[in-house]
Amino acid sequence: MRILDNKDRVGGLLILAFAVAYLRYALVLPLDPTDPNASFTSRTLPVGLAVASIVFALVQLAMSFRGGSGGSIREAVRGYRWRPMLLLLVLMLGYSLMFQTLGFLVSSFTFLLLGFFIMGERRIILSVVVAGGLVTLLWALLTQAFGLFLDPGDLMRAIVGSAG
Amino acid sequence: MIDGILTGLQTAFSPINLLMVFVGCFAGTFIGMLPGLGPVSAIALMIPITYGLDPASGLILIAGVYYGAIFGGSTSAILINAPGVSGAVATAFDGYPLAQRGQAGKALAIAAYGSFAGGTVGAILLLVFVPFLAKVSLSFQSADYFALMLFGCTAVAAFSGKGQVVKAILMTLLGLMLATVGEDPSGIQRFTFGNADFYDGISFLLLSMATFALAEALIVVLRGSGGSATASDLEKDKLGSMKLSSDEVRDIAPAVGRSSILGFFVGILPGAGATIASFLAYGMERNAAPGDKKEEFGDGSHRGLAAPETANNAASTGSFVPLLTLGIPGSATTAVMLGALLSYGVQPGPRRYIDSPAVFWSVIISMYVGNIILLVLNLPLIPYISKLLSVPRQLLTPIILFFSLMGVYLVSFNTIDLSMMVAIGAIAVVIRILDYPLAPLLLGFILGGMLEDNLRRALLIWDGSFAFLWQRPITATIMVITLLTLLIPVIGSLRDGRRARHPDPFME
Amino acid sequence: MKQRGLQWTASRLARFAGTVCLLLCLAFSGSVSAADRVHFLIPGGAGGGWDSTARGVGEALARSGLVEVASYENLSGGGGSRAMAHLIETADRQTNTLMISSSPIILRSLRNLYPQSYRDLTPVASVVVDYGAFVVRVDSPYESWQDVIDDFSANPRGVNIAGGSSRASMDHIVAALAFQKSGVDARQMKYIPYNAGGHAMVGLLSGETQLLSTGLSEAIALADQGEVRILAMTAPDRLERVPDVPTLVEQGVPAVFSNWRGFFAAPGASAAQIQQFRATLSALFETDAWRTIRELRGWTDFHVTGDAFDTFLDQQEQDMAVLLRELGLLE
Repeated sequence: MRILDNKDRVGGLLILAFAVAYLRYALVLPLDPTDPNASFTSRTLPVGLAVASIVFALVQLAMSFRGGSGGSIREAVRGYRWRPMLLLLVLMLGYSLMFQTLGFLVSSFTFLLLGFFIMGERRIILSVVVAGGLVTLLWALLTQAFGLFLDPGDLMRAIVGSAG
Repeated sequence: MIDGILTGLQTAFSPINLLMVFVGCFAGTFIGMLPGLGPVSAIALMIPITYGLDPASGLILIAGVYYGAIFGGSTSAILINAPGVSGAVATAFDGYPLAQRGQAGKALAIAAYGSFAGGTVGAILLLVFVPFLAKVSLSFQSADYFALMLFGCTAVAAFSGKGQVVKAILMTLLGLMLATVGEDPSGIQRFTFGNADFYDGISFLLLSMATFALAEALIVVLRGSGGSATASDLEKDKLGSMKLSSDEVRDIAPAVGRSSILGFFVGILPGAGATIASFLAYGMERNAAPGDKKEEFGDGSHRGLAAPETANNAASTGSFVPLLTLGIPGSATTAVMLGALLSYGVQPGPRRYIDSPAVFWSVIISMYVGNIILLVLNLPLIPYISKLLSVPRQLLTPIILFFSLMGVYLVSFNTIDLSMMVAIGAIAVVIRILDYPLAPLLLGFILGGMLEDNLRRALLIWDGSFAFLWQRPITATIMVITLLTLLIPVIGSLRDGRRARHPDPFME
Repeated sequence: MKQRGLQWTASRLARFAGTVCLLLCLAFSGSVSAADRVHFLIPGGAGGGWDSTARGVGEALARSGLVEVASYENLSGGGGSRAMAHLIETADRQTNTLMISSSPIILRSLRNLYPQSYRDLTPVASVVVDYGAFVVRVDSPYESWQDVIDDFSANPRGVNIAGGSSRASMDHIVAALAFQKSGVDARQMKYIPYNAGGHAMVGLLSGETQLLSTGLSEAIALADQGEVRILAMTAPDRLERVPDVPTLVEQGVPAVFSNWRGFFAAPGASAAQIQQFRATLSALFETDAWRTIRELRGWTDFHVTGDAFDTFLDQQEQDMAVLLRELGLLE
């Protein structure tokens, strides 16, 4: 695996893979049936971009072998704190998935509380006050001042009854 | 005309209207700091609130909100790397590194002075040249816009320092590829895989929040540098300081001057606007900078912050030329402004300019008063705004994440966008770890759509021939400048390289 | 920092408790007067055409006291189909909801860009209309629609037609209708797509296109400035607002097209509910509040309601299908 321990090389490989997949779909994009003689079609630019990306990705790969460019990934991530970062990612994903069920107020409040906790904040009262204050303030501004609709959520609807 | 200007001044400086512009600037600044609520939504949301007001006061309030929201957008770009409008992306390039170095106050002050200077130069040019400028704004055709967008892409050069040329090109290409998702100009769905959520393409805000704000906040968590409060505690006293030494002022001033004029003229063009202006100014200043200053770009250069911020504001002023002289909104913001003007019974356009100059000039002057009040209001606020950064990291990070998510939600109200944003954010973290620059990605994405649109139009109009590249003088001129911009550094480094017996420019 | 944080905590705690109470009160109050509220679902973001119409109607309803509370929910995505899907999924709790839509809903369904069609919803009534307009520069050699057609017949590639949306969407289709009904091959049209009406207008003024296909209300605003002339429009008769603008029909071209904006309720809405919506909207047209807003925005009333609205939609769908088939956009 040592051969993959190079930032430029892995980056080049990933972009190469993306560009090849993109090219595969770019080549079969539908064409405009009403304009069969068009010189510049929906495929022209995507194909061009994919080919250029493949060429430059290969150049990047070659440079990482011949020119010795790109540092070690293992070196770069030494001491990285993966746990909180991954937890925050999961938290954000959970927020987006639970938003419609819990509604804006509950989900946002929970998001901030858990976020503070993941980041190591243990003062519960402070966390509750900051999260509650921010969410309420934003809610009041958006719904009361601007008349925007923020989903109260299925949960709130179940408790309060259908409000439409 | 003089009468009109005097009437305008009288209207704008009445106590009630001054209060209005004050309230507007204040509200606008805070609304604009929320990434999803840029000038466009801020104005759209304020219009119903201003219904009961006298038209002049209403317009002045809106003008205040407009300038406030623009500055608010720069604030979030500088403080938390969250450019909520495309015009603020280039501001984040150098503004955020500056703030990270503990110079948030200074960065905000540079932004405020830059915006003010840009707005002022813009207003003066507007006053002097209005009748003549209408013609200029109509002299550009699709072919010329295509060349201009291509020229805008050369700003990527700023991210291609030592051995990074290929990486910057790759990331630009990636951005261009992402821009092709969604319905193309010929009505074909591209890369949507039959999923309706992709029909409208990837939104700018989603991509900029994911690649800039989310990725940055997560990387800080990864590195754990924010965990120990010592670094930020040391800088806290300096955080709010906005003092600029006279050397620094002398360094920035020429950049501000050049960028105001460039920004204004790009802003006049209805199809270009503030974003292109900010990228062009950024690229131009980097190319004009002497060797050692050049290195600072992207790493907290004062010039690199002042240039796009100035150009952005000058362009916003310039974009009122097509609106006021032709009645055509050249950008989303001026389209909303047009809606506001219409709802007060003011129909802008050449006829208005001839028939009732007083209204025409009071619109312009109240816009400009907004610009002045913003400076007066925000300079004293800057120390407090920049203290936001001294909120402990364990609270600040989740708040940044939350506001980025909310910003994206407020544009589409679609939670699928949130999941997409988290996924792109995760990919952006990987890209950051691999040391590939994300700025060119966003630049390619922003320019990509306009680049293809204009190229396809030009080719349609010229019946598939590329002859416009040399037959249209404006296109040809811009293309030559673009080529020179790209070639001069290469030739330079080739020559330097020969001297140092390093023949390959890519290997330095 | 720690100390300051704690002081902060104490002073905010009381305020927070108060806010929670306020919040719950507000959340509950929403459900109390359910019968008198209308909730508008807007398939696009704040500030767009759908948004301004829905908010304009809602405001007139609220100001004139026809409804007590009007609330608005923006939900964009999928060119409008996300909101439709949402309304269908949550139909049972959307009894007070009106979704705004317009002609493109039919066009996009026909082109299979939407998984749904307007038939999956309950049509209520239309409120305003915009017609298609054909615009040239003041110094253009074209004096009438026939001049355009003559020129086009001589050299189809010589007439660049600008529009503010992509191929096969509204501006293109309306232009195609006019050309087809003029007896020329609309497939030969050289349509130049811009990404907004304003940009298409700039394209016309900069000289790179010769004809602009756009909405009449936008065209009127521009013609008022004296930069352009409107050659023709797609209303059945001349309009009071612009008595000088001829229709295509009177120039011998039987092309009529109405880009309506109107409201739909959730699928399966009760007949009584629909009846009430229709009565409310009918009353709207008589109010001063509506007249004021309509004048300010330059809208034209277009009140098709009841069964007539269903028939109207069917007819428009059929016409468009025929046109799309002739253009080769539909099998």
